[in-house]
Amino acid sequence: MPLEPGLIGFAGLTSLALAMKKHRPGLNPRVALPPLAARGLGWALLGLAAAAAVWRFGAGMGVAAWLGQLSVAGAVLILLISWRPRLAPPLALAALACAPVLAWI
Amino acid sequence: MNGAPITPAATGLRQTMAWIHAWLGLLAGWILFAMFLTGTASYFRPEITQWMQPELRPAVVPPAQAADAAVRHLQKTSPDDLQWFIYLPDERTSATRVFARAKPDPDAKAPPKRRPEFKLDPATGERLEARDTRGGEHFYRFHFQLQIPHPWGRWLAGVCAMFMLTAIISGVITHKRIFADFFTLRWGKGQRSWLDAHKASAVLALPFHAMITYTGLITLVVMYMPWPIKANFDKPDAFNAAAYGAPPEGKASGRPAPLRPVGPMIEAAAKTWGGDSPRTVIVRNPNDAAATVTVLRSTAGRLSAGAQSITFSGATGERLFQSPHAGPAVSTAGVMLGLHLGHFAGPTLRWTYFLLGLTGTAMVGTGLVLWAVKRRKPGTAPFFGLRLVDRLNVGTIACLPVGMAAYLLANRLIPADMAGRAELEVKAMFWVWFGLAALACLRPMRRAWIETLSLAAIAFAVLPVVNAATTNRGLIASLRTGDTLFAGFDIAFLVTATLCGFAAWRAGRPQRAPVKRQRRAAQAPDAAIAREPAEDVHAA
Repeated sequence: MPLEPGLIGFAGLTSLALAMKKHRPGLNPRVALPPLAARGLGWALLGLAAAAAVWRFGAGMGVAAWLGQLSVAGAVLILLISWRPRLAPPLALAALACAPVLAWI
Repeated sequence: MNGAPITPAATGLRQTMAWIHAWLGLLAGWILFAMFLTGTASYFRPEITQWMQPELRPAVVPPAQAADAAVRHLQKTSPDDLQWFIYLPDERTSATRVFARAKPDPDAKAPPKRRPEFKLDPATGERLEARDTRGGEHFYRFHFQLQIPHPWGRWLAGVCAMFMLTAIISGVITHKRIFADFFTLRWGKGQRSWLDAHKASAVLALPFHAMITYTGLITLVVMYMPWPIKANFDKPDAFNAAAYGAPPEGKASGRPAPLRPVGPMIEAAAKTWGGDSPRTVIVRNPNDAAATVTVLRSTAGRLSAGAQSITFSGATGERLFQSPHAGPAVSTAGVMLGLHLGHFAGPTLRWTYFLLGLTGTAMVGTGLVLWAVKRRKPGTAPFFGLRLVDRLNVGTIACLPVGMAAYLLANRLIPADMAGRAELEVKAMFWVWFGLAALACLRPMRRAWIETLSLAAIAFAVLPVVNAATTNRGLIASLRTGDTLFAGFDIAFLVTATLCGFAAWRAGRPQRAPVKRQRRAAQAPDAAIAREPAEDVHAA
């Protein structure tokens, strides 16, 4: 299932949320990255998600898939942050770990 | 707005945009909600049709074989027709659909009569008997024709889409903290929560909302703005020929000649298109020396929904015509349509589209509720406009899902061989939807929300039960046989029921917890929110 853009995007968006003062305490990550590093990592992961989407779907459909899966990942993340924010960082790591597995099979 | 005098200081760009956003959004909101929800369901149009004809379980065969079987059938039933239309099955539609057009009567001026459409077994070409239903086509048609006579439905949908586009742009300008509030969603805080939910559902899927609204408008732009074509072409046909190329539409020669097998033509076309399977076969003047076989390319897996075709001679099998390489304008139009329809999407992207469509539905719904919540003043009776908006909100947001469930329930409950059952199914949706909306007006506001949302939950929860009772494809059976389509529907119904139940529970919560409510009333949260400095102009 070509879900890598969404999974990597979820991790990227979580990292971006970690860089924000508003959400940092709620998310309470085990390893606290400095905000600037978290922001850089977040954008890098979003870029990686775009690359994964283009690799999976080709250039034209890849853009649609990237934006679409990113939006759904964002919706899931915002619901998670509003409900159980502490779950977001570990789930982001899990999503990131799942992505290469999906790409492999 | 809202009775407050507009002072020069308050008339900034954002305030103006907020005003536009609130009123255009409200005016078009109820129709947009219905368009979004039924349009979202339409991403599964062929699947809904399959679900609504549970007696059909034909075998899957290659398109060439299905086409040959269909031609065999048509040779038996109507060999002398003007045209045969054959819609081949693919991984999303299981049966071949065919219809024929008789030769025009030389005396009558009317166009040739279209014979009724029916379904064939792809493998044998035998006619399949299934319950008469409009299937997923009903939701699809409703989402841009609104069950209003042509062309008014499309015009109304177009006006609403234009309002939507304006609301998107004015909403983005109004919302000044897009990035600061990107992940913000606070529950249980009244108006602020509705604002959060509205902004979150709008901002997170903004690319989708803008794309789907714009491409939806563009899909019908030739109807809304016919003048450029009218100014440059005498007839619509001339424009079509110039834009898309025109396959030969020859007259019958009168000399009989046997129709060559279409299977090899389909295989040849598939080869030309890099293995993409053909979707439609149109045979013109079958069994005549001038017979033509036109094969249309499937849009699955391609971003552009533009039609591509190859025409063969039916008598010799020679390739007569191939649609030219599309120019930039035609390609753009094809990609716009393709992006809107989402036919290119495989299962993963289709579900992505579906979830994004639900996000759009949520955006419109929360916007409608927000309009009302913002204007409600504790302790005072709501003014007429607010009461009207409240009632229309219940009638749309909570009652439309019940109507859609009723349409699906009617499919299972109306006897399969009853005459006119397809129309009855459609009527079931509208009678239940509008009837429930009218009944809900008799109830106090909060009770109306709780009761209609609970009914929606019950209606969707009952669907798997009724399906299991009336067909042999219930959830357990379909899980056992690996019937992912039917299992998927049952699970989706249960999830929808859970969501509606959750919404009903949230709507009823403060009343069920009087202690908590008293405490909150003591703190007067609404008044506190009203006194707080406006977070942005939405809340102003």
